[in-house]
Amino acid sequence: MATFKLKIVTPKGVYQEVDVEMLNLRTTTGQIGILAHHIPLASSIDISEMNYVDSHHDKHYFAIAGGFVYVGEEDTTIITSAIESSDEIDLLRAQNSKKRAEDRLKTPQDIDVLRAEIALKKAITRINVKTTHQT
Amino acid sequence: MANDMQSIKRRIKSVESTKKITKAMQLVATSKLRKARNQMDELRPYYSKIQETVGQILESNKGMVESPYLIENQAGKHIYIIVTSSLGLCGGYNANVFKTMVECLKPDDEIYMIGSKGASYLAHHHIDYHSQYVELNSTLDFKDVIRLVHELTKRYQNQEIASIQMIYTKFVNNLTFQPCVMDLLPVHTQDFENMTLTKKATLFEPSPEAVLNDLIPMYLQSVIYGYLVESVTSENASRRTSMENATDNAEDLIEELLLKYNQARQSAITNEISEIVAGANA
Repeated sequence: MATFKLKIVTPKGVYQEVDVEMLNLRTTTGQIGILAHHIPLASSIDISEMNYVDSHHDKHYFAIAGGFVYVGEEDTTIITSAIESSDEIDLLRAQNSKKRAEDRLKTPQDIDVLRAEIALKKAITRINVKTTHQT
Repeated sequence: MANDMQSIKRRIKSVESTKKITKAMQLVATSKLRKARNQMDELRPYYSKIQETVGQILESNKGMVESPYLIENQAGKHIYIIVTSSLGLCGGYNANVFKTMVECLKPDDEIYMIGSKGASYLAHHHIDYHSQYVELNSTLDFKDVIRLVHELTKRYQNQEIASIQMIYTKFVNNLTFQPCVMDLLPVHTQDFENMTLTKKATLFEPSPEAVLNDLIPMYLQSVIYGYLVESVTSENASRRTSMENATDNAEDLIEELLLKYNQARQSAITNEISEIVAGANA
């Protein structure tokens, strides 16, 4: 199968640069799959699970904390503030931050509800990626 | 004479210990400088990719995209984000920032201060400021930058803010630093005009406006973080230079004192000899 270059950029530098056959991610409007020779596309990514199939037909799973995808003619770039592969996710830490966010939402006085919800969503995504795609 | 010699010796010792301190600080600043420069390099691909995409959206939809971030709010306050250092002994770094700050600050402006030196300066002059990000220059935590941008963009959309500017220290080279004032919001479309972009039509999901409105906060995060890291780089470069000068001065001083000490010693010996000779002759 034809492959294309995928580059994942975070504020801490280039996270990964790989040749992939297929990229699946969830944009703010819904789930999309990207194959080689896709037309140029720019879209925001939701806080969600992301996966790609590399040139050896192996599937890799990631939890992504929102961001932005740009599909160019030559390569595809994902810009995100944070991304973790299923191997990198610390389940205990994710569960703790889920609990913290839930506690904060239970007493919704003078806190930023939106922020707590985002934190909760990130934690749940991480837990899901870790538990369903344990390698 | 002996008294004089002793006091010179004592001075040499004290200058030597000061030199040790400045030398150590110079080494620390050098390694911190290297770290900050690495961080700057790491951020560059992130920043340039976002800038490129924002430019692309603005260019391919010229005059057609509408975003609250592009329009200047008439009402509201002017916000300044100011980066200073938390430690002293870094030459004119803070003083230069304060000079620039005093020039552009008006009484009604709101200040987000980063760096405790700036915070104590404002407290001393009885100027109010937001203090929750004071530590940002030492933590360099991207999460805090996200929080700051989230707070500011929300207020901007609610028309509480007229403009956001940032005062930071530009890193020209290892010896030259320049305090600069940069506009963050509203975003000026002309900043993106001289970029080389792919001409192919791009699909924006769901719409150019929506993508732009998501992207501009990310753009601001990367810009603020970039300026912050640049300021920290300048701070450490400035500290290294001033500590290097201090070490050199200490070395000169020691040399001078040593000469004086030897002269005093020599004349004491000569004195003693002539006394002995005079005693023998008598």
